[in-house]
Amino acid sequence: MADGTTTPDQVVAASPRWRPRIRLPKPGSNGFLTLCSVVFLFVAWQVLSVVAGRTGVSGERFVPNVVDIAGAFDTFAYYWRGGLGVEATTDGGPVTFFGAVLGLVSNSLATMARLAVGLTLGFVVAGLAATMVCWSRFLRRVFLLPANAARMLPLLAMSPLFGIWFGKSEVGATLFIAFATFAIIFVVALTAIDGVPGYYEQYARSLGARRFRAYITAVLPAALPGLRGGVLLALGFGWSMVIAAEFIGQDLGLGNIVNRAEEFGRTDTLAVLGLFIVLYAWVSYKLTARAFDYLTRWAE
Amino acid sequence: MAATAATPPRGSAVRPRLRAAGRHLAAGGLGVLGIAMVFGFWWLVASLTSSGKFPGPAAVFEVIPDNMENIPAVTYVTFQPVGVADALQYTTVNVLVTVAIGTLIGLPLGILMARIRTARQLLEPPLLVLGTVPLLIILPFITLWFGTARFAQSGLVLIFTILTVSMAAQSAAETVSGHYANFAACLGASKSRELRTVVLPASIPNVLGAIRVALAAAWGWQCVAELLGAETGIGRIVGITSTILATTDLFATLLCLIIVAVICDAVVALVGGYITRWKE
Repeated sequence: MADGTTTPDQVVAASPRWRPRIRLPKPGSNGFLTLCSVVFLFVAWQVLSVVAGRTGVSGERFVPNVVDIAGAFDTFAYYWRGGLGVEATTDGGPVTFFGAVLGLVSNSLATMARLAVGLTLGFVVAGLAATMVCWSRFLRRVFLLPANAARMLPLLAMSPLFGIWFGKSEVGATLFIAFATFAIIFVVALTAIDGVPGYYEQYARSLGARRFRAYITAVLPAALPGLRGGVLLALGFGWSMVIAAEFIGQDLGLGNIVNRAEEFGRTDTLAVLGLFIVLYAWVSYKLTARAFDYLTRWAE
Repeated sequence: MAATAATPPRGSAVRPRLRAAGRHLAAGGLGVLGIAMVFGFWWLVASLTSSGKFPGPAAVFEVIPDNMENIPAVTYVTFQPVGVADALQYTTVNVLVTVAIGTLIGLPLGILMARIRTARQLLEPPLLVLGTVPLLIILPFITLWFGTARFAQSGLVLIFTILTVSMAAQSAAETVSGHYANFAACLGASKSRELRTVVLPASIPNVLGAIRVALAAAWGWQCVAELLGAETGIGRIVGITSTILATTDLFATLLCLIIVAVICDAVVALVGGYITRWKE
């Protein structure tokens, strides 16, 4: 420096106590075996990819390795429908990295939009239904058995029904996700409201609140923390639902890519897509958990 | 007077039992009323929509006895008799056997991870990887690797059960290890006795809950695996009936599956309740 001052980086580098921040766990330490397990998994996966051979359909490996997965990203270009200066491959356009990014983003957004609308619809309807049913103790007991029986619905196997009712429309896919969400959340909400101790309402009533006000301002908020597990369960299940809905009857979305990749034996595309879906699911799970914890920050 | 006060009045032991039985009966009656209301809602929706797309309960119940041996619409497509009874037996056996195997694998895995640090550090990464991947992404791989073999179709159920049961067992065993196990150790119990007589029994209630969760989800996973590639099973009938728009047969098949699923869940709950009757 001309003026004789030093930057923080220079100070840190010149300091004799400076050490690189990444430290591998030492043998015998807590994380060492976990690291060994991860390394073993990685090595076993690579060995398996060589041993398992290749599919007869596409010539791809049965178990794609890291190089295959990294190289498979470009295949998303086949799922871009054209526009933004990138021609679709179905119209003779080349396979490009930018086309792959656009293909992945457009399909991911379609899936996320269906999931968001379906989940919201399911949550709202299930929440309202549970709120109305639980207003009356009699109705609550009447609906407890059917709600518990609804847990056993083979929801994934019911997706063809929605195909029959609504065809390959957006409405069908969205309503399927909403129905599945309803089936999960309604039971959880019913149980959560039923689990609120009776004295919560009695305290509110003894302080002068009418029954409706006590229900809305004391019972329902007290039941909210009990919904956390159900909401996160519905979200995790929702990802499978939306993939199933798109797998069977949609032309745009990650489920459609899964369907076509399986049809053509593209295990590498399936694997790279799996990584993205895991990432999306993880981010959505964390965001929802945070939002829920913020909403119920008053809970003990 | 003292003797009179100490002697319970006649019939006092019977009355609470009668009251409890009455409460159970009332709850059962209300439950039946709830089921009747659901069927009423179904009938209402069916009467307002096209019967071809949304058949009513009467039409569905009418075809169930005939469909048990042979579904004419499906036979027309497959050129061989296909009945709900055989398919239901196939799917039910697959689900129950796989959930049992998954439990037998998941339970020791969970307890091992809770009790032995080395096992936890080695096993947690692969289980976490499996737990975060949506199962429907794994299904195409299973189909490509193992084809349409019977055990391959149960792959999703097996993975889901192992994950659910091992997590529940680990969590329960960790809770018990810090509390009840210390009491047992203070009383001189060896490590193996502590595991056998304290940790394992105390984990059972949580594990039973996890088994019921796994069982509830298993019907869906099994059906979707059969739907995407099987030679028999309820999933296959669902696939064929939906393709040929035989909605009445599709509804009847799903209804039979739901009834069997509810019965299996009730049996597990009853057996579980009996095993853990010592629970507070």
